Amino acid sequence: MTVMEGTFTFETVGGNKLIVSDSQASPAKNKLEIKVTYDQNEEPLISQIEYAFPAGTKGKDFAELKNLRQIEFKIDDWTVVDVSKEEFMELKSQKKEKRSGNAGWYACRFEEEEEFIYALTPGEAWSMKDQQIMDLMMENVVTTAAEGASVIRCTVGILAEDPQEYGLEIKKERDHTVKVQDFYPESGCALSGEQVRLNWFAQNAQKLFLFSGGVKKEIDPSKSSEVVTVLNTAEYTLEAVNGEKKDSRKTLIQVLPLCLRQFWADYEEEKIKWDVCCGKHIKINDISTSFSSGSANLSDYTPGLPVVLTAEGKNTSVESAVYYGTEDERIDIVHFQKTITFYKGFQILDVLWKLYELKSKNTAKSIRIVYQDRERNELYDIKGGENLGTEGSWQQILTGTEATRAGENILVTMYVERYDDGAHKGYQITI
Amino acid sequence: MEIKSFKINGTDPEQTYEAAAGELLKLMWDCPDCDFCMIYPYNWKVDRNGELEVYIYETMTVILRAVKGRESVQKEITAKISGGEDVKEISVSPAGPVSAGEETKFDFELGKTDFGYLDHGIGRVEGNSGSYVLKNQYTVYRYDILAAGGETGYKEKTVKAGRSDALEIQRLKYVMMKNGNEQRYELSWRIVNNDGKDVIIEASDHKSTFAKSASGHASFTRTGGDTVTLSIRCDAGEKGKIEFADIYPFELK
Repeated sequence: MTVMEGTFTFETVGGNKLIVSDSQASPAKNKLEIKVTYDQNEEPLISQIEYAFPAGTKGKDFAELKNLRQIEFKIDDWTVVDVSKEEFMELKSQKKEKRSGNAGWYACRFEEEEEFIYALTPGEAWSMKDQQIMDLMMENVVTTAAEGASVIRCTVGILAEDPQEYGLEIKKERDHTVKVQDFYPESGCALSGEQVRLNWFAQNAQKLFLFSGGVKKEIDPSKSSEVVTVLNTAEYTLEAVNGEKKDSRKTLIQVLPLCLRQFWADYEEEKIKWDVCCGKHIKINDISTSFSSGSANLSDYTPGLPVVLTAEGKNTSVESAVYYGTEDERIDIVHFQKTITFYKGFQILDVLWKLYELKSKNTAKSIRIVYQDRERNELYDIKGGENLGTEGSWQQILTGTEATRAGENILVTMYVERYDDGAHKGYQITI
Repeated sequence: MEIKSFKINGTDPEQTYEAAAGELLKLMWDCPDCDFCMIYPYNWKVDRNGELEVYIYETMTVILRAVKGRESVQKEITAKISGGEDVKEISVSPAGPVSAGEETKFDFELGKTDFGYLDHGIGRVEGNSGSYVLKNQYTVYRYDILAAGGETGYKEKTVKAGRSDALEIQRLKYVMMKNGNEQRYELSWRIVNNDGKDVIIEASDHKSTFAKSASGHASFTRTGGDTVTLSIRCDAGEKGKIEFADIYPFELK
């Protein structure tokens, strides 16, 4: 057999030896990319590429160790073979030959009746013809359980008889440093008595402890989250221990007033969407929802009538309306919101409005918002009755209304007078 | 990965920003190397750099957490409500009633805080002064500021301002009492400076009529059905215009 002359190189990080650390925190490090190139004009033929897995513990190879669930070989960005752990075990049992105590697997590409076929086979590779140089990318190359070394070999030849072999050694090292790489709550604020999940990512922890308010609780180190009940604003500390070494991180969950971050209609997705922070008793058109953030189909609601979200929180109540006209009379989407924050002896009223998805440049001729206190019979335009523009906010202190009935007694009405374009009239919304 | 900068109103992390109750806080951050950031306590997922404004009503700690893959770094700044707010003086110019269209300027002599709330629909006023064309009759204006210290309270000063001849609803009492399936409504009104023009009051179900005079009383009953709301209109030219709809009654319980 004639072997083509030239130099084959394996391009990787750091020359012909690649150290891959066992790091769950950086899955990107578990990806090995190699490119096989040839420095001559003619493309040689690659008869096989072999990946020899590292030796596992006695009597077992690494696939049998619990962390490995799947083996995947990719060539040219296509998954060549996707083998589950069970299939791997089955294929392994079919192997007739072992190579240097390691299990060898071959990712092959070969042509059969003008079709390219990929296969993963134990034992010897199929003899191949008309192979091309390819970029070979292997994912999940190393296991998270064992240390060791494995080799990628590339055999080149025109015919299979007298191939030349080139190899690349991969060595897997293990990082034993104990570290808390992330620690965060599902929500940074809560209502008093609410349960919040704390999540974390800890590396090489033999023991885990969660501290809060002087109380220390030991956590199973295989867990990555824990639910806590929040009564007041509190700091939480997660400590990971490995022998003499420790690492810790803190986070905070605060008990604060409600914040309605978003309530809007998305015409493109045809959905109503909301996002309430530190709120409870969330209702949309008087129907309770247990989701503090979520979405619902616009088609669930009657066109031409506002969709109203109400919610309560610590010292706060909010009523927010979204209005978007009817199928025939699509108008601007209006978001109109009233929030009352309760203090001892007074309240703060916040009114927000926004017209968006404007159907024409000047759809709204004028916007007025009127404040009404039913108990004290006060009635006035906010901001002196000037045209309020399509977006804005207004805040007022209320010192005379009875706190327990403020939500129902304080009303705001938005009047939108539209440009005269035929049948389209103005409209008003009261919340 | 690191948090290059994080500030609240110019204050850096691990420091405390002393805020007045109700103050507007400006958050700014920049973490060029991360995938995204989270801002607690609000649970906002934001880009690696940006700015946001929030009002503060009680002491809280704002945390910026920058995330990249499975790693994160975080910094925090405590915004503390501290007292010391005061309104020493409030004055208007011109003093005395003004005529239609004339502007009135309010001046506030403030201590620590730099905003307050003015009466008659004006609402939150930033800074030590505000100028407005007033539409109400000459009367008392209240100016309130929030004052922290233990519990958040408020401090108030008053001044008189307004027009000499504004069209105005001086009294509007609209109540409702339920008695089984029956609702009994009572209305009384007094409008001033209408220049003899009709005051047009209408019921939402159009089942009652009301006198067009500047003042009056009315009562009516309904059985079942929706709450009756009222609309009220009056156009007195230069003296002003009244136009309200969706006036709800106060339910006596």
